[in-house]
Amino acid sequence: MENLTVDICVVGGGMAGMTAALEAAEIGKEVALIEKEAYLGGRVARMYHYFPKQCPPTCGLEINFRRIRQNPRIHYFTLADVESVDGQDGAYTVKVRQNPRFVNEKCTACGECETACELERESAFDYGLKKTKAVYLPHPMAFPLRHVVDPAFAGDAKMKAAAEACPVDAIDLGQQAENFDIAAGAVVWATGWKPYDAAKIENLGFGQCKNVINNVIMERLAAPNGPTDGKILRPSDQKEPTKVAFAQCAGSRDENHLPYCSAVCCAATIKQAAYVREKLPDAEVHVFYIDIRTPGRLEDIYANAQEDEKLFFHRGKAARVTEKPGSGNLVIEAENTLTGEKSEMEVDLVVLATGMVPNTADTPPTADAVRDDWGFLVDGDTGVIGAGVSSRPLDVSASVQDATGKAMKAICAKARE
Amino acid sequence: MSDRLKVDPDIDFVRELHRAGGSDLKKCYQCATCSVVCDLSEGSTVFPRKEMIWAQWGLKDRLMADPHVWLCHQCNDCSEHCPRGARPGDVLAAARTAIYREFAFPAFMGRALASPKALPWLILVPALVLLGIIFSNDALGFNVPPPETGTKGGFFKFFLPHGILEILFISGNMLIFAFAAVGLNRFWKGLKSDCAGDGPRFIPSLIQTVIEIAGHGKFRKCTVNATRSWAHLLVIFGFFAAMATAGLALLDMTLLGHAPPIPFFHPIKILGNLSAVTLLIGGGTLIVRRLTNSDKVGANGYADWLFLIVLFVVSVTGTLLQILRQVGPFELAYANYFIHILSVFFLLWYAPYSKFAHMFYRTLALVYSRSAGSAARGAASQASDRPDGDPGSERTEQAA
Repeated sequence: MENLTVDICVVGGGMAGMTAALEAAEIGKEVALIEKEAYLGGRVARMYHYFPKQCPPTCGLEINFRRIRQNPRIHYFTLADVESVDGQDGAYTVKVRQNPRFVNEKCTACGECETACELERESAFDYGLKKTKAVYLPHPMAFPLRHVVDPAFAGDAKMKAAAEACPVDAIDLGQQAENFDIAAGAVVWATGWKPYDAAKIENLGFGQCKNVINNVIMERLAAPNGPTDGKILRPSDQKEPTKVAFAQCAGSRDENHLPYCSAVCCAATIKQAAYVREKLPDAEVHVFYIDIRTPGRLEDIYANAQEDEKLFFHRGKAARVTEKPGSGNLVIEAENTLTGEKSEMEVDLVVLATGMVPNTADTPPTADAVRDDWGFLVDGDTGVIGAGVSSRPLDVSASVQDATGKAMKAICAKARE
Repeated sequence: MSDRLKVDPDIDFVRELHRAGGSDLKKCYQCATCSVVCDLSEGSTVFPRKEMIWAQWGLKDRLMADPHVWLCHQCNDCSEHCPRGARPGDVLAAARTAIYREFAFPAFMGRALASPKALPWLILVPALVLLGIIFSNDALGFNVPPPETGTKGGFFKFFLPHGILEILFISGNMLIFAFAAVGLNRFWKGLKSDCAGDGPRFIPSLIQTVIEIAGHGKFRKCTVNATRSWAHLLVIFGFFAAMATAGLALLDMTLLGHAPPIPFFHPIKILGNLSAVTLLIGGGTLIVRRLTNSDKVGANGYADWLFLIVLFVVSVTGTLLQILRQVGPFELAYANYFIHILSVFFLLWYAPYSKFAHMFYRTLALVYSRSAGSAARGAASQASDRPDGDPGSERTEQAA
């Protein structure tokens, strides 16, 4: 692969990365967009809806994909890892390793290879809740719309059978990783987040009680392309729950876990409570909280939620979740701080509203990148600029706004050379 | 619409709590994790979250009147799980320290026991009394040679006559109990509960409480500080056994006419030595834990250390008595005896004002709580199922 010279290199192809790339490209800059997964869209692609308007990601991502496809100045690379970022203001070298997809551009996403393939693998897209074939389409709206071969199975003999099933000869199991360099005037780092490991939270039962899930898993359950085809079913017996509890601030605002607030979990819970009410009209939803943080226009979704006669808010953190042996039901203990009484509520399903950990906490752009105590990139004057959740916890619309601003910053950084 | 609450914060009280160990109390954001993880908090005796807001708002009256402050055994399960590091266990301990001071009679004694500056005086006064006895007894051997070390009787009597000591102790203790009763009575009358008072009456409650304390049923529910539970039980046993030993020895001497020293294998002596061993192990464990594990044990204020150290000094010097009597030299044996008697005075005469008073306050509060029962006074509020913003009209005083 040839080396590339661009004005701005954007690392991370989620909402923030795509936005930063597009905003820069649309005013005439040459942009490289590097994404480590096989598809663009990041975490938003894995959601059922996002707030405040319960938009499906197909809508929000579609706009960006169309803009990318139409814009010759964006050079995007999926399945690409950044190995290093060197240089200074105005002159950066980003070393990239392009990992093999084992599928070339002839692919029409017809799915014949999938049908023919016997090998299965766990789907990380579904947080391990589902298995896909070893050659798979990341999700129905994947961009680029092309299958991927799981590298662990590329050398497997059975994979050849799947390759032969392709009517257009798109599967190339001989593909190799390639390295190339990108020279850029500025780098926008938008590598997003991963969910906090809820198993580390003692007393809340994640990992021990089957029917305790977290908020990202809930998104997959509700999503039509998810492991349960969009039905909210509890993991232990695949039954529809009749009483769902949301435990806010699970491992957040907590000096023993994430000391900061992830800013989106309150609105995300209200959004997910709406999923339950939509798909299971007879089910009750109980939200246990310390504070409900829905600032600005989000106050509206909170006010609407309060009107719902099957949605109950309890002021008092859910501090202990235990399993009832036999039924798989869970008992949540909390103190209702408004009445001073301890309550033990039995529910079918518990959703822990866990926080976001920025990926820059363990993979910063450079060794000397300035980060705060929790791994978020601190806004500074260098040409390596954090965008989206790499900077601070943000919801989708705030991420887009942030990325737009950071694109401007990157353009200015480049102009300073 | 619920009653309005006029908050009259006592800022000095908040500062007092800060100094007494509750320095992080302002960090609390009322999540109630502490109330949930506390295994001693159940039904309608729910704590320590509400105590934390009272402490933050300087609502001294409520804390003084709250029996739940004493249901807390400072396990520190709450402090360990608190997401903010507000350390509710330490705040309640600070509240208890403030309570000893509040109900102290006379008041200046409460202030004295809380202040390191007063310590020299607190030691000096009983020391002077003892020195007075010694000098008037010619015991420093100006004219008469001291007895030999060994098992012959009269060794300690020569230095400090038993009779005078017994008079001093008994009359002093009676006076102290009278003073303590004044404070404890005010405390008892001030206790308030939201419960309907449908528990057992005073005497049955007292008996049940004492039995529960003997087994440390509540203390043993602690998970974070489990060692303290058995160490404390050893100390209680050791202390009461030591008191019993002293009482029985007195009876042995006066009623049965046996002159001390009591032989080694005599039951009274065995009880005495057993009490020494348990006090040393229990007290030693508690001290070591405070030194090495303060995060889990809790904030260490002056009052905490003072009580532990005096008790430990009593135990060590007491144990050394029989050893030094055998081994000598007599100067060391007498000096040790002096320190022992002085520290026993310190322990017993200042009991109502120091942390030692927890023995009375906690017992009374537990009795009160038992009598108060568990049902909430008035209609039970079912506000937990109402949408937020309408907690119901039965907002109890405790839910501030």
